Amino acid sequence: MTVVPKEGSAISAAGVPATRPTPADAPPLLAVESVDVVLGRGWRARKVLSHVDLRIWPGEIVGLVGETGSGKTTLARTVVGLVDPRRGRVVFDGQPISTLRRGARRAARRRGHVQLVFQDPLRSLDPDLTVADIVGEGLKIRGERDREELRRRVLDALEKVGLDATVLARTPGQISGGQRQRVSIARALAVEPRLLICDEPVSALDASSRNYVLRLLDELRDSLGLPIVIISHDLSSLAGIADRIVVLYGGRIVEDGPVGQVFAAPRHPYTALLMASAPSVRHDQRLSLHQLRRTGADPVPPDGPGACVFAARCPFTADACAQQPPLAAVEGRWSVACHRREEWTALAQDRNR
Amino acid sequence: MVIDNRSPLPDIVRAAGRGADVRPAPRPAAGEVLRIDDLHVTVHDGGATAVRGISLRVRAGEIVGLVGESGSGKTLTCRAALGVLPPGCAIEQGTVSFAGHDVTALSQRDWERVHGSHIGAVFQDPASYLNPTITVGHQLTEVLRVKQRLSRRAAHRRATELLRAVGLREPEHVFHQIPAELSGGMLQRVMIAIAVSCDPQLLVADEPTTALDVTIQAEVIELLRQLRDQRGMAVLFVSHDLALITELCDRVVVFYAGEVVESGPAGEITKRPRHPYTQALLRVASVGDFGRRELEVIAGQPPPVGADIAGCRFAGRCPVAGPACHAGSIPSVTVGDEHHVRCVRAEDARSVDELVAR
Repeated sequence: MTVVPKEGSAISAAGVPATRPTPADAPPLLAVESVDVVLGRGWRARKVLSHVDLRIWPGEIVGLVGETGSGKTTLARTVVGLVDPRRGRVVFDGQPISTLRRGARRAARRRGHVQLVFQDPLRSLDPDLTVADIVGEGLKIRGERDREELRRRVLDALEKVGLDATVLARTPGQISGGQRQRVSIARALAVEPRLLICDEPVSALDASSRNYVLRLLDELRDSLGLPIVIISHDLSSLAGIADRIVVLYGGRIVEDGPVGQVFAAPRHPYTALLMASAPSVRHDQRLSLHQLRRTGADPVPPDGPGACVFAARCPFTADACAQQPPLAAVEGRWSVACHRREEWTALAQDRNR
Repeated sequence: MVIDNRSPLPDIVRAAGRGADVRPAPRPAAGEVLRIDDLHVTVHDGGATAVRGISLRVRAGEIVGLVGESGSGKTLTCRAALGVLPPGCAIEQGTVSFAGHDVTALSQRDWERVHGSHIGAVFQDPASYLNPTITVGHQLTEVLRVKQRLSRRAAHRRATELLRAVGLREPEHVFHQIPAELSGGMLQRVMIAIAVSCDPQLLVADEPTTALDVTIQAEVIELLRQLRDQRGMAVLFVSHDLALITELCDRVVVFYAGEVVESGPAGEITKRPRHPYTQALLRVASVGDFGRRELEVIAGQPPPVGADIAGCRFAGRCPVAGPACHAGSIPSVTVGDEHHVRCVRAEDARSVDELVAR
């Protein structure tokens, strides 16, 4: 089974795929339920995630965006069970996994239903192992002993990402950056995961390889029905393939909704700031950076312990912002955590570009 | 207040001229800060030619962007201009002149007098260029004390001024911190402060924002533009992101497999790119479109570094290549004001809207 277009034909493909709606009543594959995560102990303890609610349905691509330190990676690590939530729970396919202990947790890890793909393959792949060893390692851990079967499944995983047997004997240092990231994805796919989480899979790649890897993920979702969470800060290319976008700021989800609606008219000022910061060849009617950044003339933001996480950077604060707003539904599956979600856009448009 | 204790350049060049191999520098045009002519750089101890005949100019107060895929030779060109080629690499042919003086054959020692005082540099990963055990203030004042011979107190004052000028809100506090206590964006600002501390005429910035968040990237880009406006500094900016390049730069130079395939004013390049490779780069760049769409890729792989190819180096991946493209070397033709294209179909212009709205 080949799911990847030959590199030679890729440039001509046209046609915009439709966003896939998920049935509203279908149970989510993954549910992160009001999770708090605290890292460090004693005076060093720092709350990294607060009240995070996230659901992933089968077959969807979710883009998770936010800046360094916003908790994206911690959220990914919590989902695969590398970090324990202080409060709340993580439920995968109806089974709570964050409360598993010892043997049960190890067994769940060995099954590898949720796989992580890391940002920098040069650092996350062992430089001394060959591609065959790297891709087969998860299968060996799961107890696959038959060498023929192992080889067959390694080749199968490589084929899914558009690579063939010629790379088997090479080490990560001997292949190109784009190929390395495909090997990382093949490593994750080899154990037939039911959910794939990619942590900044494309930030180290140039534009063409970046698009190639993102398209590959899109095609894997189509052919395997595999839900994929992509952590990225490149909003524009994420917009090309994601169905839903989740924006994290200061350890909280501030906006979560269908990609088309969120990017057409973001309801949280931070989402708009991210969009305005993205470099673009054509300048369009987006709000400009100057309309979205705080200046000395803006109202003094509330800074009490319970204030909105974004208040210190928000030019549109009001008295209500002294309380952290909950993530509230705007319409359908689109929700926003902002007291002024209905008002700030008009205020921004009145400011000088 | 700028204290100019720089050693004058002519001295350096005279010093370099003591060697036998003195080349006449090409006559500089007015305000030209950096001029590279027909530069060839070999890698692997002369085993392959990775940069093949690059020529470019950077004028005072101008921001010039170099764009291309990884391995296209943009970083090597920058490093040649800075006199810091990695081991095994050498300038085989061509000249690099700085403010009208040939610096191609400067010795290590003479380069030390040019670095910092006349040319500043910022690279991708700021953390790896700073000493993790020493406060950033110490590292910044060290430059000022060595290069400008400032007193301890004057260096401290100047350093806090610089930290404030690059947008750090509490310069006195930052001054006493070590690199691990600062975020990536703050470290890159510190690097920029060090690079511009002696008021250089040219700042070379090699992928300075690749490791940063988009919001921070936008701020660093604004800072570079501001430094240019306030100090009349020239900037040579390298990135693989054409969208970023066109936002910042006045002129764009497109690299492909060691050659310049197109160069021209940023507006021209984005509105009417002439070379099929530039057109392809525009199609894969973030066009500022937040809609759901088919993400495009550039088919095929670039040729291996130093490959000898008769004809156009992009022909193998070009969707419109014909027999003429493989026939012989392709000359660079002028298609507009300072707009040069190395393509047999240079007259075939397509607008970015045509390219994107397909």
